[in-house]
Amino acid sequence: MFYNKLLSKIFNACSGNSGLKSASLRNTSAKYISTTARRDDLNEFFDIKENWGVPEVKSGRGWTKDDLRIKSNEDLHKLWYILLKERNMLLTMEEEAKEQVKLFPSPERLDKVRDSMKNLEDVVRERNKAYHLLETGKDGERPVEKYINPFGMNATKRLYEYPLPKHMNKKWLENHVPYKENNKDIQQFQLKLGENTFMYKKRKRTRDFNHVIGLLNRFPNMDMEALKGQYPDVDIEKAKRSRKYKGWD
Amino acid sequence: MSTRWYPLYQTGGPQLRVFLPNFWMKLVRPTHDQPQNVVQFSCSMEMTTPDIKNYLEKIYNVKTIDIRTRIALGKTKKQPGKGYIIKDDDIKYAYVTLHSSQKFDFPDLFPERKEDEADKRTMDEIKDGFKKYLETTKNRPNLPGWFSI
Amino acid sequence: MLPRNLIFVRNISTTIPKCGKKNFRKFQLFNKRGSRLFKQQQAKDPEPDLFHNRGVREIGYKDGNKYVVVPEKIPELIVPNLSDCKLKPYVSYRAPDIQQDEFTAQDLFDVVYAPKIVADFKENKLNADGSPIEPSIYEKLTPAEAELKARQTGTDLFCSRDDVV
Repeated sequence: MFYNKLLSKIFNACSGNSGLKSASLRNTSAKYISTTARRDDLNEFFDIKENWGVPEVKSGRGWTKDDLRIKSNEDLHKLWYILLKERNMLLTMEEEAKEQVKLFPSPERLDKVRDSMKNLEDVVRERNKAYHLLETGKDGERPVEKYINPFGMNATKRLYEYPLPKHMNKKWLENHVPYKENNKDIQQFQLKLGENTFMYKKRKRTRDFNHVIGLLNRFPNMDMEALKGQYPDVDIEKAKRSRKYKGWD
Repeated sequence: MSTRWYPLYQTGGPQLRVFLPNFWMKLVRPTHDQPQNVVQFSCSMEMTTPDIKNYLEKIYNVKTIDIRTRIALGKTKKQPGKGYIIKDDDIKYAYVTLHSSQKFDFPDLFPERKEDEADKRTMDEIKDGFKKYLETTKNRPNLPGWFSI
Repeated sequence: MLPRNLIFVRNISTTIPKCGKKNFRKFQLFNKRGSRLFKQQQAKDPEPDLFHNRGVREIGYKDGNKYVVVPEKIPELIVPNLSDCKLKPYVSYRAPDIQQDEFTAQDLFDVVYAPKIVADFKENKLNADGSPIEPSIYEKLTPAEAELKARQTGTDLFCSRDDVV
């Protein structure tokens, strides 16, 4: 209630249905005559009859985040269901096309709808986060915690809510083995892992260094600031002193 | 109604509400013969029977009498060319019973269209064109088609 | 933090290699294995380790032999009235390009709280430490109350790290 009052104040003031021409290029024709007061029921799972068996169905583009940010909460809520119904319809048609071994026209519509829905969810999350940060200081999302897993590596886990505190929860304690520093196997593994990381970093260092020399050879008039930005760990002066550098300093 | 996370429920807690459901449903052609008022859906694995009922009634305004679900095990087959066995994903089917007066037949979604006949005509034209080409190159079999006076 | 390709968590885990698309021994055949008699016995007296609920959310609890359904646990779907909606699933390519930055807590503050604070300052209705003399309902909330109100919105709890188990 509180949330709705707060945000509808802002969004109804500055957005509404105006601004964006959201008409699609799809034909909107009447479907079958139904006896229910609202629109068609099960026939909403299928496309309009004109599109059955055609090789191509023209449609507009998907919704971007910018398009969605100017819409009110009520509009976004309605749009979610419109997109959901469209997605169900496309999935039904695709499945039937697979079974009948026929062409499913314009499969890119599924990608457009999927991306629109993802963007909608992201915009809703943004608004949620803004409200929670302002009111409580934490984003109202599921907490994620960093910990050291039993193999001694850094890991992150998403936290669950339990009715019991940790020390009393026998089932949880059985399943969660803590990290033991004095375990010989884990120590050996950590040594080998450390060696692996070190070698990776060392090889990357030499690889980047040699690549920078190659770039300096091929493009002597390149932008040094950009090069420094892309390879911050490479010493460009040292690269120019290297034997493989063909240019004049 | 969604794959997202919700706070733990304890006695006296609030009703779980979902504003943006994450589940899709596909209407499928029945795998076996069904009564006239039974519709078959393929739905998300995480949906329960009350979920399906709410979904259809609220979003699609379809009055359902009974819903039965089953999880169909995916078909296992040999990967062609490799020899090892692969398995398709499992599917959850829902058999939704509507009121006995209602009838639903899965329609033919890919009917023959008039444009297909137009395509056939152009096919005949292509064949005629090729026959003409063969006529012209009858006396010079090994030369390319553009070779002419 | 280690580079992504060196985070071996999945490779070392003993369960992930057990599920797969190929190799029969890796197929996850939840609740399907066993003879008819075995499955009948499991229905009566289930072994907890063998049953897998496939990610379905529980709608009640088990009281002895009976399953008690809790209506509050059944998700209630909130669907708006779509009869007047002019929005379509796709946007016309002829529609103008929109530029709109991310909505942050700062923007929300500027719209909701800032006007009152500015008005109070101009009318000298602020205390020495900056708190208002006549706080509005929202300004009167304590942190605990604000946290409670935030929980009461009933939003889904998204997670910033979806790839983490």
